[in-house]
Amino acid sequence: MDREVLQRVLIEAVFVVLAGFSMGTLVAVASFADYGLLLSLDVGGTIIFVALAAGIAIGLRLRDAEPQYLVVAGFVGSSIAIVIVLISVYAPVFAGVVPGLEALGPSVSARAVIIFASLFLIPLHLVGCVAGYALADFLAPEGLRRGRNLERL
Amino acid sequence: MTWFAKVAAVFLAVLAIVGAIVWVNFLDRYIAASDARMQIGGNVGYQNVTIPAVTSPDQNVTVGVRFFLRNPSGIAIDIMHISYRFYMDNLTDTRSFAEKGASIFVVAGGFFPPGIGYVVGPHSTADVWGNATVFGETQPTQLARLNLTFGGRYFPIIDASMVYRVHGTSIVERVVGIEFATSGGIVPYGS
Repeated sequence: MDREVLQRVLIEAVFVVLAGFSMGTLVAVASFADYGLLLSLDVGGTIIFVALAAGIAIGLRLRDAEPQYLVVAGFVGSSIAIVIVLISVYAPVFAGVVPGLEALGPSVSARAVIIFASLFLIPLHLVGCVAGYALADFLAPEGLRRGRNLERL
Repeated sequence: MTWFAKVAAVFLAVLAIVGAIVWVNFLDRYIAASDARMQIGGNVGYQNVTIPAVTSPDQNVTVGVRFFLRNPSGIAIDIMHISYRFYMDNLTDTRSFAEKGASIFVVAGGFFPPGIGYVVGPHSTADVWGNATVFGETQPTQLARLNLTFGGRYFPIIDASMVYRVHGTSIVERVVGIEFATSGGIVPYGS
């Protein structure tokens, strides 16, 4: 692979990871509002806003890429976010302070809801990616636009 | 690189930094609170029980129960209240506690701090007194039950429960079955 292309791929991969990380962390914090001192976020609003905003940012950055790579980036980013939400939910178990989350009380359904709600990040983030991709084409200088050439039609 | 790609990069970086800060704070508190919820039950108990000698039938007797709470976790705990039921065991009554409980019950008492509660800091221990008073003039039956000694000693039984909140959160838990019983008895205070 060309060195420049590889460099570009790595840079964009870093931003995809950043998008996934920020989505996952903020959704986890919003889902466990009882524990957060620094921020108090609404779960639904956070899922919608963060997934769309991060998706738009990724779409804006991947303006030159083929659409299939945009979709892959969207899936990877939202998958990272879901993994972070899962890690957050099971953090006390991973930290070794509880043998299992059941020991903390009868909130199995609440945890299932958190994990299920985080799945909504996938479609919302993909919508954001596509919207950002389209927005990038709209914002791009005249000569760099990729859309259909209507004059030829 | 276009200007909007730069803006997107900055936005993602800022979002990730904000996310990292609040996530680390959340994880720290979530793990500490889970640790506290697991361990508090085994770290609350009795330090001391003081019962004065009853010298007159219309005496007001204040029973003192000193509880301790060790907080081994990394997050503070607010004791919202400790309440207990105080019994005076009748050693001549050989029935089980469940059967004779009603006949040996003396008084209810507890520790009821005002406001958000009594804060016990992380990795620290607190001692609190929970008092209960029997008014001899209006509660002669209770005073008679209280004033029951064997070999000059009281044999109280206390069944307490504690309600606490993990500090700075809305997580409220109850620890039940904090029991006190003595085989050696307690010497009346001031006798």
